[in-house]
Amino acid sequence: METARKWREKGRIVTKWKLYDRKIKLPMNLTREQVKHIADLCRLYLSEEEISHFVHDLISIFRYIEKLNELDTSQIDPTFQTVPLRNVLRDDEVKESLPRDLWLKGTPEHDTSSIKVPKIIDEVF
Amino acid sequence: MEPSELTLSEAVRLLMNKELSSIELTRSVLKRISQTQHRLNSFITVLEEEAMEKAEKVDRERTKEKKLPLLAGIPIALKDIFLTKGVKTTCASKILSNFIPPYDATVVEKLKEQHIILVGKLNMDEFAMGSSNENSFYGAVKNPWDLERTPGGSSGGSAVAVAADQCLGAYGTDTGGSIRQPASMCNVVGIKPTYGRVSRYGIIAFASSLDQVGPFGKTVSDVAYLLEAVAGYDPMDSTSVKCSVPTYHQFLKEDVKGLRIGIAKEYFTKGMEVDVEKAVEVAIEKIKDLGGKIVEISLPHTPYAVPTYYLVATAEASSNLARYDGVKYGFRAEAENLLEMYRKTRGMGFGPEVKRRIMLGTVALSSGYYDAYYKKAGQVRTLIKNDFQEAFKKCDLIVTPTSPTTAFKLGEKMKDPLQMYLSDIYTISANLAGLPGLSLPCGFDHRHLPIGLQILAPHFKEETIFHLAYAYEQSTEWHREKAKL
Repeated sequence: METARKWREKGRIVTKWKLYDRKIKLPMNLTREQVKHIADLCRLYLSEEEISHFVHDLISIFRYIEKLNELDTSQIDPTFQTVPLRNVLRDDEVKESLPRDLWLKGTPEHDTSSIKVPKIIDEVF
Repeated sequence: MEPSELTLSEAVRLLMNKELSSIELTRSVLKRISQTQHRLNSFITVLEEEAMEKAEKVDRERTKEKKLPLLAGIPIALKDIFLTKGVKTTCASKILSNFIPPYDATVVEKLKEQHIILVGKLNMDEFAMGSSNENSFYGAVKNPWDLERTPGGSSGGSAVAVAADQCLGAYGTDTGGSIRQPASMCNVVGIKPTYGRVSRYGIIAFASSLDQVGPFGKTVSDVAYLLEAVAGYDPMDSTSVKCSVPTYHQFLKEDVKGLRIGIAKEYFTKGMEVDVEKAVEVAIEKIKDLGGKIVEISLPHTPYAVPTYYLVATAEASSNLARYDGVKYGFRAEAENLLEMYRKTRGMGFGPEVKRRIMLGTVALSSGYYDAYYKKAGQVRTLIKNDFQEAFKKCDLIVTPTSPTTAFKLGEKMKDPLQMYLSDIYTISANLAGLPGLSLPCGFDHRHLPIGLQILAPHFKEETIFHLAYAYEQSTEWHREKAKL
């Protein structure tokens, strides 16, 4: 999280490292606070015990992942998919979608036409 | 011999010649399930009535002298990651424990069109995350070769169901080895096809650039039939490729003269069990006897495959699993407001391994870390893909051990997630490069636990894999051995 702040301050102008060969910065002192923050980002409620376990697990896994720093990938394009497909589109025709009565009854709470969820907005603006 | 002990190929012949009815076959399989389920825990849902009904229908159609599809009347089971309309699909997770899909996966539709008998939904690691089938909300699956050991994962239930004669064929998914590794630990055959070969529509997604559907069978011939049944382009899956499906079972030959077999030194490392190394070396000798030409190749970026995978796969998973929020389907926790509902639903609904991977993936993708983690992993993935491209200039197939060890004891690797991740060391690269890979039996260790041989091929060359696999299989007796239950 330290690194993230530094980048923002520098306005994305890199002086020391090439932008696409940035060394993996291990969150060495991964704290409980940082794990809580990550859990917040992915909307996971964690108990205090779980947080302790995950601090330990994440540190050891990231330490292992640091191995990737042994490789110079500055001239390499990343691969995000292995099939030579691009822009797979279909014709802009209106087709049948999944009918509402098929899936509505499977929702945790619903009325005759919509799904019901807990309050989203606290105040009326 | 019980009908449930037949191979799929044998059963297909007997059904076609009307020497066996689908009802007899299905009844035998269901009986076997009821006798062994409590010991193995391979099934989450068993569809007794529906299966018998379907078997009756198929038998009636057959008496009408109609030409039925090859697999008509064959009892099959599916990993609980395939959406089956009207049939509970849980992905072995609490968060989907009450989910009944409103539609079928394309693969399921295809199988239904061919009149297969669906006997049940199989146990697995939650959201396909695991290598031992111990991460299931429905409890661990046991290995029929030693009930105190894991069958491998994440398609543990699928491998066990085939190994224990609970069905004549099964389907699973493979993201980092989840078909090949359990196949090797249970003495069955399993194949992960080329990425894009089989439709992923209706398959609960884990890592979208790595996931592939594939069959398990008792023999290579069985797996060839099962792959033919589901492979092919699907307009509903934008990552499926328009490439014709060969009739794989026509490529099963008994010699391999002229085939160049690559052996990579990076796959024979320390950490590999002695018995596994010995068995694979003997298998390579056998392949030489059958006419294969052994070529030394190098895949230098192999040691970087596991860390790459645990960035790519977890990043994609953190995105794919964001949909499980208690809103539209599945488990929903009680909460005062929406945010609390999300956090509690996911906190209570997901198991620890799933949460671990979502968090790993979230870090990999988070602002300030994206380039250093996810993009870096993408770049190493290119290097790994290029390794294979180079290697396949010198050989037609690559042969490796499937797993560095045989089946390990339940609980053995649960304390250290990293140890568990390393058991995928030989299978993971194929997913990163999108290559097809098959595992088949090649021997047993001193504890009589199965050992698997892995065969890798260039993209869309599954027929070459089947060629070698069949020839090797027919020259050995490993596939005939069954676990004593």
